[in-house]
Amino acid sequence: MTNSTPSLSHPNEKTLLYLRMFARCYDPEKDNENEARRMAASLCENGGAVC
Amino acid sequence: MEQLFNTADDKLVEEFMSGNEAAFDVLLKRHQDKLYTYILFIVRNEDMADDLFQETFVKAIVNLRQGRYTSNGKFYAWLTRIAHNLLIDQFRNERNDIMVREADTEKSEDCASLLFDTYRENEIYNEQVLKDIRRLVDHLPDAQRQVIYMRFYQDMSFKEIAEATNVSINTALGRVRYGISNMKRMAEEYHMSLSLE
Repeated sequence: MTNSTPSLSHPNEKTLLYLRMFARCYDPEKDNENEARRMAASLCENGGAVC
Repeated sequence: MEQLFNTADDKLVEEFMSGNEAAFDVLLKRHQDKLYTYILFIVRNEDMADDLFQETFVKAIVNLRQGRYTSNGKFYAWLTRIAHNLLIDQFRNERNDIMVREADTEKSEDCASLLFDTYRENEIYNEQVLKDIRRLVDHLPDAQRQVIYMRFYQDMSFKEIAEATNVSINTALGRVRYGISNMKRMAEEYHMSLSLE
């Protein structure tokens, strides 16, 4: 089946940046998922500075 | 960072769980296209696929950082399971029409070899056949399309499919068979030849 495998598609670059930012903003001790989401979204708008 | 590119998934997970975010970047880069392609194949909508892809990794990050992942060398299967659960939620919201599910084991097995035979000499013809198969897969109910993709496009074993979709091996096997039966029925209905040259 390898010859029929569909070519790989790529996620949106902004989504990838968001995830990298979220990974840096999320603090397991605070369990601040919602805050980390907001920070990641905000950081994406600003080009992705590190938390 | 460069050294991390040669590091196994579970070691990267360990690094990330300890707070090394660069390890996450490598995990993301390593699995992003494969996982996204899988999700897109199922939902057939880029915006929705992006959302589900994002949510899969957000859940993965939270679970990893909270120490809720057990290293077993199956990081990608674990990711797929998270995506699967999100897809199920999505399906519940947008339920497609359910197709008739007729079990016909022997015919299914014949059809499997017919549908998924290897390439031979006539590539143009075969490419068209494979496009037709892909179109048929696109018309399957969600659960069947998902397992057909895992089995025939990702070469996953029935055991792996069962684990990724939280069902028994028999159920996974049944869904693949129903999927193939439905594809065969559609091919007959539209007079499509699915034999490879």
